[in-house]
Amino acid sequence: MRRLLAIAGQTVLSAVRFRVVVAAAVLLGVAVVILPLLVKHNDTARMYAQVMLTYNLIVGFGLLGFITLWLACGTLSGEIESGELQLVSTKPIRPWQLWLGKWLGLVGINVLLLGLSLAVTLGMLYGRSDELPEHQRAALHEQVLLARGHVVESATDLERDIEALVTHRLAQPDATDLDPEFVREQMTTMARARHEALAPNYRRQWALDFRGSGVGSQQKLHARVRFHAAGRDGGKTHDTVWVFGDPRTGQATRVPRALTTGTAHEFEIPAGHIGADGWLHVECENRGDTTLLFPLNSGLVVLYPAGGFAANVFRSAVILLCWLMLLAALGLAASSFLSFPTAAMASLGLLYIALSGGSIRETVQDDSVFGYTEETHEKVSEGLDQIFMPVFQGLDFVVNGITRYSPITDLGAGRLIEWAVMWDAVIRVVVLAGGLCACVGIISLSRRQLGLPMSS
Amino acid sequence: MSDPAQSPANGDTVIAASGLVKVFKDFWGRPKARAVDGVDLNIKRGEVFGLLGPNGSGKSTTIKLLLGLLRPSAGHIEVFGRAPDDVATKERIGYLPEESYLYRYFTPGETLNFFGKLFDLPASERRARSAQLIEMVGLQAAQDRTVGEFSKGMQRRIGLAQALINDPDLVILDEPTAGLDPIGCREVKDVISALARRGKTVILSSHLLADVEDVCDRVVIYYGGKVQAHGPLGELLANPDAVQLTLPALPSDVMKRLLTILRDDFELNDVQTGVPTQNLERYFLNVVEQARSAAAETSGASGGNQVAEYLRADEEPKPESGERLLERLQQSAPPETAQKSPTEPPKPKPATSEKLKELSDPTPASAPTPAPAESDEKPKKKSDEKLNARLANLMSKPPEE
Repeated sequence: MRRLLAIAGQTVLSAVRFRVVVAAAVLLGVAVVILPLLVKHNDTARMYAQVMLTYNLIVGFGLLGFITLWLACGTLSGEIESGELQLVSTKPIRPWQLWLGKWLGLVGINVLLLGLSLAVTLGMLYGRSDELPEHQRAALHEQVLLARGHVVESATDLERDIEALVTHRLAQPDATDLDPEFVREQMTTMARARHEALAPNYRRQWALDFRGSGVGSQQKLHARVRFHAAGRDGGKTHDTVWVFGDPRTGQATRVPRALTTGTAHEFEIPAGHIGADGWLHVECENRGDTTLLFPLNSGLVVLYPAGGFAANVFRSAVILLCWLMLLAALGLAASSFLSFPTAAMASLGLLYIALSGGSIRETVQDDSVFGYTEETHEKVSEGLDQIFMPVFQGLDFVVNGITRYSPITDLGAGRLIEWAVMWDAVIRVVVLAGGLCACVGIISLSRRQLGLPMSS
Repeated sequence: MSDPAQSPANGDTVIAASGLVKVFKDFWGRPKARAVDGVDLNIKRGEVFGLLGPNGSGKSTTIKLLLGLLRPSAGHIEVFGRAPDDVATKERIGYLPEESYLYRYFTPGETLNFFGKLFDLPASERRARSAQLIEMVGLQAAQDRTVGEFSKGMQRRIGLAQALINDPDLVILDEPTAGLDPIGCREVKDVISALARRGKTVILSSHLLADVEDVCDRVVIYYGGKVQAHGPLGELLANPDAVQLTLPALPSDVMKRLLTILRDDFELNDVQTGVPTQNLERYFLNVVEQARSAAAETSGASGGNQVAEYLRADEEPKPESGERLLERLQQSAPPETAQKSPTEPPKPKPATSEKLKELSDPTPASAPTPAPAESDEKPKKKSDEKLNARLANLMSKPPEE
């Protein structure tokens, strides 16, 4: 353990003495202070939180991620190239101790810098909240500076609808030449549209299950609503009426709202509308002249207070730290067998792939890398797809398995980041993904002949 | 570490290498250079073993193979009966690399503390050893400076200190005196001698043949990756076809008679005479010691002090073991030289002149074999006074770092 800590301490001291930590701290401080001065908020609590918290954390985390990768590549391959590690490895220290010591040192630096970044960000968030009007200041405390759990409608079973639609369509006389798969895709879109669309003067109902959430019937709730218009609406408002509670009981509350498309709207749900059975019924009536589309899982989200802001900040910081720990492991793994510039480029390339997780997922869902012809809907290159699809499926398994933990948006929206999610991130991001990097790095370092001339 | 249970008995093999080959390859695996080619080594406990050879002859590659920094392309190595990269082997090795591979941002104390931790030494032991080693290598005045600010010689000094932090059984020194001033060179050689007296094994690779000659018991000479010559230094350097006599200055008539006798039995070209010169290293050390006693603080490396106490712990008590290295150097010089000007020649002893006169006499009653005179007692030229003054002046200034 003493050897491990010696290497960790040396790594931290190296970053401090070479003024990397000071430079990074200044850079982070400047970014966190300057950014809110450049980006104006519109005096609403949500926009204020977005600028002061979300943007700042994104910029800070981006900088930290870059610094971590750079330091990780430099501390190992740099020391190998300058010969320092050659001397260290003649001492009684095993490669895994050397590698893990370096990693622990980088984690220590990250804890320091992330803590500093969060402290300045939160200081600014609280310190400048006086700029907001009083009611928005109150909204800031009620909607952002806390941890709110959320409930959405149970997953709708579309499959039964889709099967019925496909059967019906294929039974038509003009459907004899149609590709059944193509018909299924069309019917899937149609089935989704039926659940998402709300035509003028129609109503859409949601039943939200609060059983097991621990929410009392008198607890203050907020509805977060997001929808799109079926056509171009030029940014106009759409008249809606929201009904909370079961209308059959006669205790429902009607809330009229003129809302715009494309953005999330949040408003309070009066207390006492969760039924004795633990269900909250919500209804929306479209009073406008345009069909509205409520996305299945995010059209209506009901938020409830579930914890304090400090604990939420802690959990999100741990998840962010997990990411930085993985980046450190990635940089160290690359520099265990590559030179500094090559390791840095390879790490950044892998980071780019990780950030392209959405594209990888789409490719896997399409089951084709090169796409389909418009006329026949056949794969452009069946052979190449057979080669590349397993690669993309593997990338999807790895990348999307770990990239779903992004606490910054949730923190800025005051959403609860559950302990289970945090521990899940620790296991998947640090233990599994970081462990894989560690195995690659330690094995590479063990096999490397540190005494080789650098040109070899 | 010095665990008597683990230490082989005197004469036991510390390093056994056979058929050692190292071929460096390019990116595609094609052979690029055969750095070591069929080398066999067998180094015993307590030996001071020299690796000699021109640049690129395979000395450093051999050292890296012994340290496990390189894997041999063929052949077998055992160090203390184990593989070189075994942690238990590394526990017992101290290594000073050819270049300063120390962390530039560490101070000397931090450097030694760091390497002490790698040997899992307790904090109190690290502190004690660090203090002794820093004193030994004469870096007390530079304790607040980082290694990156050091001159090459100072970096060698702290490099030597880190190689000894674990009280190693095997010390591998690659060009230990490179960049050191003569005082530092002498101190390093004294440390090597002290280690050898304690039964430690020292492997010394050096271009400076005089250094190797001073301290090594056995040497190998490399060329082209192969061992070209090897054996005990005395055997390798001895010339059995000649005898060298060193005598006090002789009156001219005595000299003439002596040469007449010798020329009766030898060819003229086989007899050579001349005035022996003093060893420059010793002369230099005398000058510096005088300058030091007259002046001077320095922010650089000062003269090293006694060998670190823990390195002397098992050494047999010797008269000079607790004394300053420089004092020991002075003691080995004649008292006259230490007290007077180093350029003043010692007066020849009349008794010795009488004996020489007897020896050169054509009709001596008996001709006793003269004992070889100590080189320290050789006379010094008057013309050296000028040089002495210049050097003394130079050394009184703090070194530029």
